[in-house]
Amino acid sequence: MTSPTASAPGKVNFLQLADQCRVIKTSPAWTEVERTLQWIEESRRTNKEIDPADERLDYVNRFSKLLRESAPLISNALCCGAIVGACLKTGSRGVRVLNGLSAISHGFHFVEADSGTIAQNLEQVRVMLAGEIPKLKDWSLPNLSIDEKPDSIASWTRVMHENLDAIDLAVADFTFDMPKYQQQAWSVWNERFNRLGFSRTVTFQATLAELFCAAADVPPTFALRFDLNVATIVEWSAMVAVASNADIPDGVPGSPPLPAIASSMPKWAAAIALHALGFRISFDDFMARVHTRLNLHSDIPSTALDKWKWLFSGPPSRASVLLITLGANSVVNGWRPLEGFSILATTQATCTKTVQVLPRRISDDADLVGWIGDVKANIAVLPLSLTHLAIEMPSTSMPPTLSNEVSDLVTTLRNVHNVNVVRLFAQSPTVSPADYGSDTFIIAKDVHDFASQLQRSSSRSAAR
Amino acid sequence: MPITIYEAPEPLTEASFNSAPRLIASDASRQLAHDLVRYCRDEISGRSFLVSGHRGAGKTVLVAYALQEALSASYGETPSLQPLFIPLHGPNLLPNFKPPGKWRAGKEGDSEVQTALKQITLGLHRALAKEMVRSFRERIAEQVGLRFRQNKLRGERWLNNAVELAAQLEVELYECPAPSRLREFWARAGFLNTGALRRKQQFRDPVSAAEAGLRELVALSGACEAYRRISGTFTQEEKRLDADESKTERSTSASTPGKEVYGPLFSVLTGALVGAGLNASTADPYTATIAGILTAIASAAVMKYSNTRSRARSVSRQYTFLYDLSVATLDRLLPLLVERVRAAGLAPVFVVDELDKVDDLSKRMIGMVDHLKKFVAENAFFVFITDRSYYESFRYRVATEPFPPEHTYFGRQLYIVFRPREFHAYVKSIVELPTPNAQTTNSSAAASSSAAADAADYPLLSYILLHRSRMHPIDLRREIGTLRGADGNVKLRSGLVRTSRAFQFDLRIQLAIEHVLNSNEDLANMLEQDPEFRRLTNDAFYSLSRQWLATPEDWVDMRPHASHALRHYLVNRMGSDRLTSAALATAPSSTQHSAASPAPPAPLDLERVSPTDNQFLFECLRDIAELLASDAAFRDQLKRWNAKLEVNDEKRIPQPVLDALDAMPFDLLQRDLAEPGRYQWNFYSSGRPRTPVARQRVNLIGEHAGWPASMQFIRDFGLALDELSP
Repeated sequence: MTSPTASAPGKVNFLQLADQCRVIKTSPAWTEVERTLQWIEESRRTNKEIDPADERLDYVNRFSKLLRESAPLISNALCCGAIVGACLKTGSRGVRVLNGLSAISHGFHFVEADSGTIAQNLEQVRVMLAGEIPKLKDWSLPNLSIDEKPDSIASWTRVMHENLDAIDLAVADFTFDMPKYQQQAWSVWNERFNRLGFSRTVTFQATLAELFCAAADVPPTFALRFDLNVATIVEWSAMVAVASNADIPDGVPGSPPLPAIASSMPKWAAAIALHALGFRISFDDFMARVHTRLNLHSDIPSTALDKWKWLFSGPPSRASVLLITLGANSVVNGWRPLEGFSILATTQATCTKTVQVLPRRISDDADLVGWIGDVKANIAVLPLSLTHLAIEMPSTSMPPTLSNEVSDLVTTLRNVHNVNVVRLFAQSPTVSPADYGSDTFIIAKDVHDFASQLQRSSSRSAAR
Repeated sequence: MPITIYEAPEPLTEASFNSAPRLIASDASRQLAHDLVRYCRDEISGRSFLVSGHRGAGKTVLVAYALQEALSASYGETPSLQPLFIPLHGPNLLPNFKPPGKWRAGKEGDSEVQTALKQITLGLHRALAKEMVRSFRERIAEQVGLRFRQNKLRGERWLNNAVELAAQLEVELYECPAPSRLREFWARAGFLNTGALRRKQQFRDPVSAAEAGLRELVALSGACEAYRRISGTFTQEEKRLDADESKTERSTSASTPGKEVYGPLFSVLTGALVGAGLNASTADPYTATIAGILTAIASAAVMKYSNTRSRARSVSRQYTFLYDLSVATLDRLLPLLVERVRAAGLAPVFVVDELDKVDDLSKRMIGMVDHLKKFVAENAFFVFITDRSYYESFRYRVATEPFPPEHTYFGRQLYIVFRPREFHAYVKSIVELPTPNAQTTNSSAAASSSAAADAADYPLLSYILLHRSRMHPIDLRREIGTLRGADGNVKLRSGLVRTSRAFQFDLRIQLAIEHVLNSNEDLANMLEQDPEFRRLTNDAFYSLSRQWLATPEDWVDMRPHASHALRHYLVNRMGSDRLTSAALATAPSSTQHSAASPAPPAPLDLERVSPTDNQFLFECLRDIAELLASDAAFRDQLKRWNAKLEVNDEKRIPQPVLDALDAMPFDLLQRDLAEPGRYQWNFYSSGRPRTPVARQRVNLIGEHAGWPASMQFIRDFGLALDELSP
């Protein structure tokens, strides 16, 4: 669809309230109303007559009506957003309000909620905040409405200012203990996994700790968000690497460098992430290798692990793929895990380090410790029972030279483990296929195309 | 992050193997794919399907998609034959150029069955040859990399020879090569044991596995022979000669090489010796001379003696066998051929399309049933694709006659009809809201305005498209095509679908239809028991909006006595054999009370919609009209329905859709206070108010006169927000 005008950064506006945070209704659309306002201004400026029967005038009237009706909700949302966003401690008030409001909106799934539910959720947030921040113990939502009086907006604004100033004052000397909130947030997820297993269909309401983490842009919400269905392959893969203590300088494009957040991430997150990516390692392997290696017993009591049998069950994968992407410019970045296929993404820079921490099958050979720590020493043990190694290639330029380490890995996987090597392109390449020898080509824009071609190439190999 | 429209490749095209095709999933597609997979896994020996639907319902695409599913399944872990798609053109199978009703057609002397057999054979040969050549090439391509890695120069030479071999095979396969020639191709490419086809077949023993290539040759040579029978005059004669001969010969002779010289010489020498002996003993030269002469004569007589005896006896018998290679024998050959093709690793699937173009199909199909039932229904997999009219007459016959022949001819009869949720899923698979790149919740809040606006628009699009297409696949594809801009994105302005009145109409009617479909328990039960009843409900429910588009000035008459008009309309939509295409074309305005209504159908046709069904659908339609005439009640019911969906863990109506309804409360229909049960449309489909009540209503809601004040209010509020977030 053709784009609306961009909003100023750090400023609360109607588009953010409606389309992004879903605090007010999405119809009539602000983008259309804004265009209508511009059209009216233009008509006035050029002395063009405005047809009173023009439908667009109705947009203006309906939007104004919507704002009047939503004024109390807006006032409550801004105040809650200001408090939650205060954990940032930096940035303008606008940025803090928006961050907080966005966290609340995602955490309570405003995208699916009607006005009544949103009002209730804001009240829930207020109760949680009052319980956490002592000076807000007796604070209540402003619920400011706007009537038909001429100075109504001015008085609404004045009272809102007073409220926001009071909030700033109340939270100024409050210490937001982010490591504690992060730990709490991970515990909440741990408990959810204990209770419900890994369910992509169930959505959860956020706890206050999670709201703070989301507003401050730190895990667990960076990868798990509030909905397991939303996280991408790249995000889950980064989680595997970070939680497994791989020395990864930068994992997820657009996110903070992983080492900065690695300290807060529990080890069991690696197992969850592998499950989310579709890998089903055997329970025995897990207990004997992963559990020991990741030191899971420090994070989860072994009794809790018994409840996580779902980690090891599920339909068998049609292909297990290690996918080396182009990083920030990769077509893979938006892909989500696909049922029936196990895909772990990495980049050339982080590939070998990631592979080193991947779990592999138990071997009777004592020298084969089950981890790639040293590629050469563990050459006989294939990590994650991989069937494919996919290397993403730029479509328009010459193929990049693979680093020695990656070349070694490719050679090892291909020649020793008989793993299929495929080249992934976002569109038809302009270079000669001969440059890639006998590797299979896959041209795919989404994960479904990638998977179907992968399956086809598997069947060819099987037939051979 | 614009909303993109994905141009999906059609199933079974080359592109479809790289990029997944999209299909409106339905019970029909699932059933067909399921049985096809079973057939390929050798769990059933054959099936015959009748696939029907309205023109443009996607029948052919559905079958192709099911075939592709079976093909994909054959790549999986479970051993399976590879489906071999054999397209057959209905009008070729049952040609129209002979007088309809007469059970003879095709070439002079060929019966209609023979014509059909010829077409089946032709199709089988063509498909098999195509698949073999394709596989042959594919296997060569697979070996290239390996050979290149071993030795580049030799690899190149091998490649050149191999591709030429494949091209030669393609040429010769249509010239019916002899088995020995075929064997030569396989041997030169190295496929004699492994075969050229890609397969995951279950072999009973290592011997079977080792003869995979030979099985292919058997199938291919069989197909070539069958092709010869139908392509020209092909005769074959076998002669056998049995002969018994005995000869006895006894021969005695004395002969010495050079007897002509030595014989007389020997006689003379003997005579001379005898004469000399006598002369010496008797000293009588005369006596000695005479004795010598007599001895020489006697000696010559002894040297010439010989004896010969001979006896001969001879018996002979000659047999001549003339093969019957006439077309009439194809019915015996085809099952054998199918068996051989299956043994080679391919599962033939015959798809007979365009049968709606065959005159008098109902009668002629019965003729075919009589002759080919065993082969079609039990020995192979056949899919017959027909339009709705044949299906309706078939259904009518099954309902009224005791077990008509076609009843068992088609193992399964599928009518393509879709549920709204299947359409929604399809639209979402084609019209895509790209996943935002890995971003945190915060960066999502700061993401572009366009992305957020598009995300809010997105849920409305499928409702709008479903209504505009009247849940008809081909119209849906057209509507999606209309939405698509040159850059492949949805070309509408962001926010327009949530704001413009014209789009709200689509939303409102579609939601009303879906609400009645889902919330009316009797209807839900009926559809559960007879899923194909949905074809009538779809027709009935969209009759309102069809009429609105065609004749918006007309009254919508939902009074009890008006139900007969709905029945006429439904029968006309069936397109029975007797109805002309002109009658079908009048569909949009053919419902109630329109001046443009077509001529009423014949009484016999009317029986195809029972009065009970008609009355039931009429009542449902009245419920829809009521919802459109009472905005507050409509929205209230929708919200309650939505809450129920949540409890049942079903897909809820997206909030932006409900927001759009709330933002523009109006009645699309207006009740006639003087005549209860009559309604008129308040708006034209363009969004323009049609009735004074509507104009007043829009003005009341919108307070058009007050728009400057509204404008000022919005500006002031915007400034206030700006001020609050410095």
